[in-house]
Formats: sequence, structure tokens, C-alpha cells
Amino acid sequence: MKVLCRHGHFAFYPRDAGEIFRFCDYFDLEQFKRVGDYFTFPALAEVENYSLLGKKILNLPAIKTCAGHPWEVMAMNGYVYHIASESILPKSTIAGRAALFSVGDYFLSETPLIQPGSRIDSTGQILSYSGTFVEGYSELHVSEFSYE
Amino acid sequence: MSKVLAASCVNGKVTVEGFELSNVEILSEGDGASTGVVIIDTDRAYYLAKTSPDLDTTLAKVMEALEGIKVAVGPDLQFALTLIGSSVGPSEGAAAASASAQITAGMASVTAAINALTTLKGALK
Repeated sequence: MKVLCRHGHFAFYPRDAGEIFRFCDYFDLEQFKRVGDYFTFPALAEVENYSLLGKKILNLPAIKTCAGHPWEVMAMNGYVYHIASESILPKSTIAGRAALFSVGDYFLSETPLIQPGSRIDSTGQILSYSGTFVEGYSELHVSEFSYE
Repeated sequence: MSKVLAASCVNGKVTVEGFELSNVEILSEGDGASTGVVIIDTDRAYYLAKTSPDLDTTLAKVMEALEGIKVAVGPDLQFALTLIGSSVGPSEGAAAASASAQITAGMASVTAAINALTTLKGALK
């Protein structure tokens, strides 16, 4: 299943319905929500394509008035999705580290998803990445990532 | 990617969905309270007021003025000319009758203008 994380916003592209259904088990979710041509976490499906200064984006007030795709709105407000708490948080509050191992032409992550905002050693925060979740091994093969 | 939202503006302060926005460029002229739309383009916002209410009010005022002219001036002036016509000589009477006819034609023009404005007011989008 293709996994796309853009500025802390997730989009999943399963090959079949069963794949996305089984992926729910890793996050104790009943189901993911479909938005257009991708699936995402139920909370992220509620992020609108604009924000107004002071108006809440999910659980936090927007710090900027802007418009764009949901991930662009999150990026302009400096927020990322926090997988464990199923909410959004300022990227500056994410302090975790991501364990990525270089394997040939991809990076191997031992967790199904990398928490956006995580760091690798002394680099900046990983806010966007794309890869493939290999169900049989419960591994995420990251083909590219960007950090700031 | 742009977003258009209903908005209002009072004393230069633009409000959308109950939130007062800062850094909004107001594109309309005039300082009166208004309703309109905010256009958000990435991280820039613009406010545009609806102009139909202003035009609607202006047309109503003009129609009111024309009705006033028709009611207050026309009949009184025609009556005055009729009195004059009945108390002066033939040539002066003919002149008064001619003037009265012109007033009648003028009032008809005023009526036509009021009707045209009524149609325009109803067609405002």
C-alpha cells in the first residue's frame, strides 16, 4: 500500500479494500475515511481546505488565515498529525526520533508509519515522506523523505 | 488554491464565520457597513463588498424623488394654468393650454422613467 505523508498529513492508497481494512488494526481504528482518491485518518478527513485565524483546525486554533489543500493548510499553520493521540499538534512539540535504515534503494522503518516531526540523529524534522507499507513484514519502505 | 467565503465589514473590520480577520485587503470603496465575500488566496485575503444594496437604495431614492415631482408639481401647475387660461384673452389662454399640454407630456415622461427604474430595480442580481 502506498503511503504519502505531506507536511504531517497522511494519504493511503491501498491496492484493495482488504488492505486498508487490515491497516486499521495497527492503529486501533474501526476504519479510515475516504477523501477523494485516498484514505486517511478519520480526524484528518475533517481538516478543511482553509483556515481562519483563531478558528479551530480540529483541536487547535489556526494561527494563520490561509487556503489550500488540507496538508498545505496544516503546513502554513505549522501543525502535524500526532498518530498516538489522534489529534494535531504543533510540529515544534514533536521530539521523537525516527529509526530508518538504509537498505538498497529505500529506507526501512520498523514502524508502520513515521510520526511526522520526528528527527533522524541531528537532522531537521521529517515532515513529508512517501513509501510502501509491506503488509507481510509490517514494514514501511520509505522511498523518499524531506525534512526542515 | 483559493477559497471564497461570505463576510461582513464594519468600520474597516472584516468578519468571517464570527472571526475577525487581520491583514485583509478591502477592495471596495466607501466606509459604510457592508456584506460581501472574502477571497483567500494561499495566505492573502481580500474583501469585496456587494454593491447591489447600494444601487438598490439609490434607485429607490430616485424613484421616490420622481414620484414626488409628479405628485407635487404636475397637478398644481396644470390647475394654475387652467385658471390662468380661463381669465385671460384667447392668445394667452392658448399659450396656457399649450403649456399645460407640455406638462402632461412631461409627467408622462416622468411616469415612464419611474416604470423603467422599477424594472431595473427588480432585475438587480
